[in-house]
Amino acid sequence: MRRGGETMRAAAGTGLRAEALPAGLAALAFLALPYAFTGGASGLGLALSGYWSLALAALCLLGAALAGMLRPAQGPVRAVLAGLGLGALFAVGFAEGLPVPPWGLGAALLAAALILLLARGCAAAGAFKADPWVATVTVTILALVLLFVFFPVARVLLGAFVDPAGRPDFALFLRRISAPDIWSAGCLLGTRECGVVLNTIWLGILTGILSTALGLAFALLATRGGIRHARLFDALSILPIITPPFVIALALIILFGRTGIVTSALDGCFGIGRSRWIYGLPGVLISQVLSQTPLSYLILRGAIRGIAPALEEAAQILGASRLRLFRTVTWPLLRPAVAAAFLLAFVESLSDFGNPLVLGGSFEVLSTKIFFAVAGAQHDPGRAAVLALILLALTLAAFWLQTVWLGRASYVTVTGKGDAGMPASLPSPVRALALGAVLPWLLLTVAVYGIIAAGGFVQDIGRGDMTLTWAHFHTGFEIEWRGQGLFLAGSAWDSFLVTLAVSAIAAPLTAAVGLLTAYVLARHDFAGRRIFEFLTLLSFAIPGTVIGVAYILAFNVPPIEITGTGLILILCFVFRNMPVGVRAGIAALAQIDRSLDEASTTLGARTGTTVRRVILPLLKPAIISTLVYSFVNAMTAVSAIVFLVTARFNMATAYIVNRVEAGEYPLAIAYSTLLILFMLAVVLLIQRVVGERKPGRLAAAPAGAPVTAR
Amino acid sequence: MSSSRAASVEFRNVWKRWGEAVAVRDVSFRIEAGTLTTLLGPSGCGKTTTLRLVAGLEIASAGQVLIGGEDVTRRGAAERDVSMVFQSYALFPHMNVLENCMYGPRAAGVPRARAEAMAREKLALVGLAGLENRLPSELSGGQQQRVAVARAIVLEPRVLLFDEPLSNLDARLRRVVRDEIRELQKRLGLTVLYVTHDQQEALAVSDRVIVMDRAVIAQEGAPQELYHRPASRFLADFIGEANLIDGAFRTAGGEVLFEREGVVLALGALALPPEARCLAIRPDRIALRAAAGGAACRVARVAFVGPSHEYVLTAPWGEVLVVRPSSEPVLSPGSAVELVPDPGAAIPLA
Repeated sequence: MRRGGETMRAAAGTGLRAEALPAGLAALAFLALPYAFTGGASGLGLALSGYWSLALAALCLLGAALAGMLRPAQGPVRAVLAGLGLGALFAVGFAEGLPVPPWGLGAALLAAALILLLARGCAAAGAFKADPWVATVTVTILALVLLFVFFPVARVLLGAFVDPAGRPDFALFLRRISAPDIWSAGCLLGTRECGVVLNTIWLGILTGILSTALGLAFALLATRGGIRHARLFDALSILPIITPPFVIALALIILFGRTGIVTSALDGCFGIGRSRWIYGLPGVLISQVLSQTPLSYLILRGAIRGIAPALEEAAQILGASRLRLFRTVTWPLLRPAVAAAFLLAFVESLSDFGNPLVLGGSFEVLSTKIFFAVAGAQHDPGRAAVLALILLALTLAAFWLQTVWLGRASYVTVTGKGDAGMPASLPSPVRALALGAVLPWLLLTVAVYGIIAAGGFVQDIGRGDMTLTWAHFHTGFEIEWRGQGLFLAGSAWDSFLVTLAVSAIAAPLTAAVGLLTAYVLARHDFAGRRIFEFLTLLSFAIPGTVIGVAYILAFNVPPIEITGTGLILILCFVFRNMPVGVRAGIAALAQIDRSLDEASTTLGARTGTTVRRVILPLLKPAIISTLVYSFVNAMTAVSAIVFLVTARFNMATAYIVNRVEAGEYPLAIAYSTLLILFMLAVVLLIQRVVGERKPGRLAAAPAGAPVTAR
Repeated sequence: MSSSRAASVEFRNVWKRWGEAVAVRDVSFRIEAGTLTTLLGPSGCGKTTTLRLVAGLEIASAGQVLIGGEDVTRRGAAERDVSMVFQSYALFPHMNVLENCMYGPRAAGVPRARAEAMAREKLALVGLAGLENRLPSELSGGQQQRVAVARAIVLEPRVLLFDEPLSNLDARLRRVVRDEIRELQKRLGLTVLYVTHDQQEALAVSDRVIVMDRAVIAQEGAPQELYHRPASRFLADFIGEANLIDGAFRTAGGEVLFEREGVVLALGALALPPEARCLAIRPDRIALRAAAGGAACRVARVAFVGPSHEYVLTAPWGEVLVVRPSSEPVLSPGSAVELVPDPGAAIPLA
């Protein structure tokens, strides 16, 4: 019985500590810390000055904490008290009809303590299989997701139905949503321009078809084409991931704009007149296809490698010719992956903001129209909300299509067993076709990245002035020595440092939230698990522009008033990139046998210990990929954050977009070059540092992270 | 060196439901401290679920689970003081052998030095001293199995559970490891519950065997008891092989006779249950005697398997399997034979 007694004491001890910690923090916050973001009185002070719901929240908190310590079996009572407290906390100001104080440190700590107490109360009531650790993680993540994904999105949707003064107005909604510039199909009839919805869908379909076709050509050549330097494709495929999206658009302008390098050459040599053809659908399409093709390539290459050679050999033995083999075996097996690549490219195109902004000209798509509805002269948040609603409906429809369509048709042909055999080589007509598509494309890619690489180091590449100069880096990143020390005098330093800080803070948070969510979803079953899963993956389907508008609408009024702070940028990235962590984590956990968790449990480890000592070390590849992805994404994202940046907290991409709009191409390109190099260095460094010691058996296993692109 | 910590296990009317499906139906049994009991049954019979209910990896839908007389029904696996050796071994791939074995004591808050001493002692006990710094991936299947055992006994659990521990080993190694587990259990006086679907394995290692079928206990008892006195057709067929023949029993002059379609078998003295309608008899308990051409049974096929000949006979009701030592003269296919059951070897069933 020796260990039994120890266990009992330990359990009692953790019970007391677990309740005392949040209670103590909350007491400190309530008595001593300023409640509001703007400083001022503590919670107690506010409660005494008429905010009675705050006093109610504090009493509920006290009750829940005391019940947890003295009557731990009273789970339902504890949970209800904590829930009531949370409700009261959110009602502060609204309930009294007084000005709502924006939440600060004091309020946040109170909320955190109440959430912890709520989770422990739920566990004591038997929810989450009575596991306090799982309850705490799940309830905390759920609260955060509700607050930072569900609430803003719901706010956008509601925003479509209210008038500028905030009153519900359904007639106005109908007028807004039936505006001719949204739905017009004039271009099909040749009369007028098309509406923004048709433009967006048309662009998405074209981008989807072209990038999938090119990606397929690349993938076929790389795996079956007998090309010696196929690894070069893999290297090239990393580039768009670390390239800020509009940089390609910029390079296209420099190549094909009215005064562009190619345009000038054609004009000079062949007398082909200068035109602005690149601005509009063609330019946006080319730049989107340039950035999307490598992702299609990665998806399709994986699928082609996944086709068991034995299947094709079987067909060959049965006497099929190579062309027939490709048509009857290889292609049907590839079809699901082709569909996946197409849908991904389609959704990416819908969500893309940077390229249409720079290259769109008079060709409007939903994401840019939303931006101008908020940021432009017309400033009409209601209209932006309606447009966001439409965009959200389109992306959700695409995701729905993906699950319906691909859910059924997925051929896993590779089993765990080693599958020997040589893959069939491409039939020559297919190979010729693929090469014909790929070679011009490679040339264009090289030209684009050549422009990016060279543009920062010459006087003005846009006007053909190729005098070598450091002036642009000087403007952006000058470091001066001024008496007392180094001074970052360059104009880009502020945005660069903010970007760095935001990305560095957001990446580990994203990984933590995403992977913990993945663990809970993959390993624990509880009531409401499906809803929890849906909510955590919801932000995957929401275009950045919509998130940006949503955050502005939701978080520039109390109680959560964080617009204009660095915090909103961090939160935006964490919850936007979180699904990547969830997916990578779930895929990796599927490779880790459940019996490892169970072995840990039967050896007496509680869930927290199991996660820390068994699960997390084995999730290392997923941790790395999530860290890298969220860091890189935070540095390159444009769509959501153009709404959220301020002069004080500017981000690199927003800064570069502004330079482009002001026509300062060389500085924009110089900055982009630096960003790309910096990210490359960081990615390699993270892989070096975190991935150093791989456990033997796992080293052979696949990294577990799916191709996640967004 | 009997362990004072070994505890009894008791199930009282335990149920486990998954929605509509019932995995364990109203199961009750008691396992004495310091004994080895096997849970035996075909796949899907509920034996693994029963084991996981003891471990606390599943929580019973109804009924009580007691360990050492204490009600642990609602306790999770971490709070039951029970260890388990998994079918897959479930060794932590990122920890070496020593770290794997130190995991339990470390999770319980034992200081590192003491935990290491405990781990080394048990590793030596299973014959793995010297391999402490290897990763699991660098060990053979048999060695991995022993690490799993060592890790499970480091904390001297009140009950030790084995989930099909031999299924990943080759046939030769199975017998060795099987005997090692039994030896270790006796030496340390452990209470062991052992799940297997292999009836030979169960008969070889157990003090008692609990046979499960379709979520309920079909029969429990000592191995000899189960083999010689199976309670039902299912058990007669599942434990060892048996010919099951429906027919009529009657008693004549202190001897029991069995009749089916004109074939009469003399069974010797037997206690006949009131409703006996089925004769179960082991293939090696029937002698064959060459008979005249008119006999009802003939040899259909004969296979030589080394120590014995396996005969398949055609009888009026179907096939009969008979195994005779290969030292006896072989009968060729087509021969007419008469069946002579060993006196007292037949098992009459309802």
